[in-house]
Amino acid sequence: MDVAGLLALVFTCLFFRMNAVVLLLALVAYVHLVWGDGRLEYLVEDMWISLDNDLLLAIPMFLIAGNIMTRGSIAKRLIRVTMLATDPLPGGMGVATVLSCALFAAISGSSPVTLLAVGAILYPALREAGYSKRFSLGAITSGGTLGIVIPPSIPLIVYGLVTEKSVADLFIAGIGPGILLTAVLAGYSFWVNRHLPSKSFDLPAFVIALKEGIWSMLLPVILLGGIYSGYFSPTEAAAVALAYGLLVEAFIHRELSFADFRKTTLDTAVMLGMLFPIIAVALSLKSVLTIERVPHELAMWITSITESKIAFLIAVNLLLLVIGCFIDVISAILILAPLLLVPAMSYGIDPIHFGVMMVINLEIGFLTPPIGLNLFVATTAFREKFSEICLSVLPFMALIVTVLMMVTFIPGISLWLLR
Amino acid sequence: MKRTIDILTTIEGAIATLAYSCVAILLMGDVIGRELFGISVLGIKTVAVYVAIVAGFLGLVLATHHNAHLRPEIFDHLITGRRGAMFDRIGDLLSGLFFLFLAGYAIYFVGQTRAAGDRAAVLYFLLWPIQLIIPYAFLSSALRHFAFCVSPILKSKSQDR
Amino acid sequence: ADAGALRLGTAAPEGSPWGKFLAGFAPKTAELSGGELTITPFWSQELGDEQTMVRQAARGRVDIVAVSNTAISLLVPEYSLMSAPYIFDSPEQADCVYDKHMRDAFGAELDAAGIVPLADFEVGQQIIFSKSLIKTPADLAGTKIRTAPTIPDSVFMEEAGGVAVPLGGVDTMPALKTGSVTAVTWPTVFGIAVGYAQEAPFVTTTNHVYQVGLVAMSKKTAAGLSEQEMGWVIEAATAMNGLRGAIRGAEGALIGKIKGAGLTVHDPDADELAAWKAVAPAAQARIVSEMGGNAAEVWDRVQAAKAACTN
Ligand code: NA
Ligand code: NA
Repeated sequence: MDVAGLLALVFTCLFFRMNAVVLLLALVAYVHLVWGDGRLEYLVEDMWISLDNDLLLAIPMFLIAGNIMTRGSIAKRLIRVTMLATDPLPGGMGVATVLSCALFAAISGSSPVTLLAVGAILYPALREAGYSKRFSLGAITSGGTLGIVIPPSIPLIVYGLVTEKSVADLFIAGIGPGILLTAVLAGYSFWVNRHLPSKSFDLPAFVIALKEGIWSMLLPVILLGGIYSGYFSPTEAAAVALAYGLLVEAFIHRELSFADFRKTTLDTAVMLGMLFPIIAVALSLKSVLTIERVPHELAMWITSITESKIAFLIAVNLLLLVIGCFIDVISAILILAPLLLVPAMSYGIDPIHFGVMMVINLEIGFLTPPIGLNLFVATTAFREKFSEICLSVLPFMALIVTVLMMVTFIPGISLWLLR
Repeated sequence: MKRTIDILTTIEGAIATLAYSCVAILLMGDVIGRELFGISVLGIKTVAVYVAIVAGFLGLVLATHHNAHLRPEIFDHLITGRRGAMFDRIGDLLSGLFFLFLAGYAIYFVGQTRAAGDRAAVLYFLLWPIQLIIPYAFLSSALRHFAFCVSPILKSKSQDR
Repeated sequence: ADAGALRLGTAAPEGSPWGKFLAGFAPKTAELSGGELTITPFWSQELGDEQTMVRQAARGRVDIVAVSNTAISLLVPEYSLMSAPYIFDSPEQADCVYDKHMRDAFGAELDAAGIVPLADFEVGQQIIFSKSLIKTPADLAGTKIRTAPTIPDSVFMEEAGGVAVPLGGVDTMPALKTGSVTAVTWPTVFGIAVGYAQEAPFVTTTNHVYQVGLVAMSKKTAAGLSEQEMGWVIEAATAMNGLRGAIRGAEGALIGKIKGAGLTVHDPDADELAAWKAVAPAAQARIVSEMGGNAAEVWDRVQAAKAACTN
C-alpha cells in the first residue's frame, strides 16, 4: 500500500511534466510521512541543515571559479596545451579530453565542475572534429569524475574527518589511483578513435600555447602548493581559485568584463539552484535511513556472513555501488565510512587505502541513475537526453570498475607514495 | 503580471549575485588577513555560510523562473499537442500548490526555530530571520508555477536558456 | 516514533570513554522500566553534528543528547562562559560547582531553551599541542594557534599573544599537517586520540579550560513521559556515573602514553602557570563584554556558585 502510494506519486509527477526538484521533494516528503516520523517540517529542517555547513562553501566557489575560467580563457588555454601535445596521436583530441579533465581535477575539488569546465570547450570541439556524440558525451561526463579522485577532493576530506585519519595522507594516496584512472581512460579514448586521422606535432604552436597557458598551468600549482604548504585550507582553496581566476582573466588575459562576471555568477546561481535541492533531498533521505538504522543493519549483515578478506572487499564494493546509485558521495561516506572501517580494519585493511577505495567506488555513483550528479549536470550542460548520457558513460564506467578492482586488491597503488 | 515577475527576478538575481560575491570576499579576506597580517576575525566562515544559503534558496527560485530544473521526459510522447500543453499547465498548478504546501511547513519550521531561539555558532545571532528565505523561496517558486499555469508563454523552453 | 522508544544522539564514537559511559544507559533504562522504555544510541554524529543534535533536541526530533558545552551554548549562549579560561581555582571547586550549583546558575535558561539536564558529560581539561615548545604566553607570541570557534577560546589565545585561528573539527588536522596553524588547543583525551600529538609533538598541560557538557532530554519528550517513566530515565542517568573519573584517568594515561612514545610533555611549573593565569582576568572581562546579552548577570551567578564552593 505504501509503495503503491509512492508509485502513484511518481507517475503523477511524470505525467504532469513536473520537474525533478518537485518530484524529489515530493518523494522524500512521502518517505518522511510514511516511513519517517510523519513530520513534514523535518524535510524543511533537513534542507536547512544540509546547507548549514562550511564544507559546502567550496561548491559555489569552485563552481563560479570553474565557470569564470570557462567564460574567460584559463580552461581554453589549459585545453589548448593538452590538445597540441596529443596532436600526433590518432584520436588525440579524445586523449586530450581525459588529460584536460585530469589537469582540471587538480584545481577542482568537485566532479561536476570539472565536467563543466572541460565540457564547455571540448564537447563542441570533439563533435566538430568528427568524434561520435556518444563517445564525446561519455568521455567528458566520466572524465569529470576524476575531480574527486585527484586531490584536492572534498569527499576525501570528509572521509578523513569521520574516520579521524590524516587528510594529507588521503590526498597523497589519491594521486596513484588518479594517474592510473587517467591513463586507462586516455588509453581507451585513443583505442576507440584510432581510425581518426592524426596531425603532426606543431612545436612552435605548442611553445606558444605553453607561453599563453602559463597562468592557467600555474593555478593547479598554486592551489595544491597552497594547501600542502599551509597557506589555506581546502575550503579556502576554492575561494583562492576564484580570486586567482578573476584576477588572471580580468587583468592578464583581459577576457572578462564586469558584465561577464555578473552574468557568470548569475548563471552559476541558477545552476546551484538546480543542484542544491538534490543535495538537500539526498541528505534528508539519509537522515530518515539513519534513524531507521538501515545502514547499520546492512553493515552488520555484511560482517556476519564472511571471514574472507577478499569476499568482504567484494561485498563492500557491491554494497557501495548500489548505495552510490541513490545517495551522494559525501552522505554515503558520512554514514558508511565509520561503520565499514571497523570491520575493514579487523580484516587487516589499511584505513587510508580503504578511504581511497571508497571514493573511487562512489565516484561511479556520479554516473549511475537515478541520482547521478554528473548525469544531471551533463544533461543540462549539453542539452542531451538523460538516457543518452546514461548510455554514453557505460564503457567508461566498465573501465572505472576495472581500476576500482585494481585499487581494491593492490593496496600499493594507493600507498606507494606513503611508504 | 509579467512585469511584476520580471522585477522580482531582477531583484532576486542581483541579491544572489551579490551574496556569492560576498562569500568570496569573506573567504579571501579571511585568508589574506591571516596569512599577510596575522589577524583572524571570529565567525567569518559562519557568516559566509548563511550568506551562501540565502543565495542558494534564491537560486532555487531563479532556476524555477528560467525553467532550468531538470525534468524527466519519459511520458511526454504519450500525450502530445494541445492535450500535452494542458497537462503541462495542470503540472504547473500542482507544482505551485505543492510549493505553497511546503511553504506552510517552512513557515511552521521557522516559527519553531524562532520559539526555540536557534542561534548561529560562534557569533550567536538568531537564525530565524535568515531562515525566512526558505518560505520566501517556496512562495516565490509557487508564484512562478501559478504564472506558468495561467500564461504558459512566460515559461521559457528549457532549451532556450 | 512510538513514545517508549527514545533516540539518543552523540558525537562520541562507541568505543571512546564517552561511548562506554553511555553504553550502560540504554540497558539500565530498559531494565528499570521492564522494557517499557528503550533508548537507541546513535554514535559518531550519525544524527548530524552537535549543533544539529542540540537544536533537534530542543524541538523534540531527538529525545536525548550527550553533547559538549560548546553545543549547549548554541541553545544557551551564556553556557560558553563556563569555557572561560581558569574559571576555577581547583578541581575540587569545579566539581562542587558542577555537582551542586549548575542547576541554580543555568536551570532557567536550559528550561527556556527546551532541554532537561539529566547528567554531566565530562569533556575534560584543555591543553596545547604545538610544533615547538610553548612554556608560557611569551612563547605563544605570533604563533598561529587553532582555537575552537567560540568567543572564550579565541579571546583567551589572543589575549595570551597568539594568533587565534578558529577552526572546526574538519579543518584542524589538515591545517596542522600543512602548517597553516602550528599549534592547537583541544581537550586532552579527544586531542590525543585524534592524533594531534603526532603532528604537534610538544604538549603543554596548561589545563586552561575545564569542559563539561550535558546529557539532556528534550523538554517535549519529557512532557510526553509519565512521572514514573521520567523517574526511570533519571535513575538510569544517575546510575551512569563515573565519567568524571574515567576521563581524568584517561587524561593521565594518554599523557603518560605520549611521554612514553618520546614526545615532549611540558607540565608548567608554578611560575609558568602563574604567567598563563595572569592572562585570565583580562580575557574573562573581554569574553563577558563580547558575549553581551545577559552574560554579565550569568557571570555573577557563576561567581556566586564558586564562592559557595570555596569554604
Ligand atoms: Na580534485
Ligand atoms: Na548515482
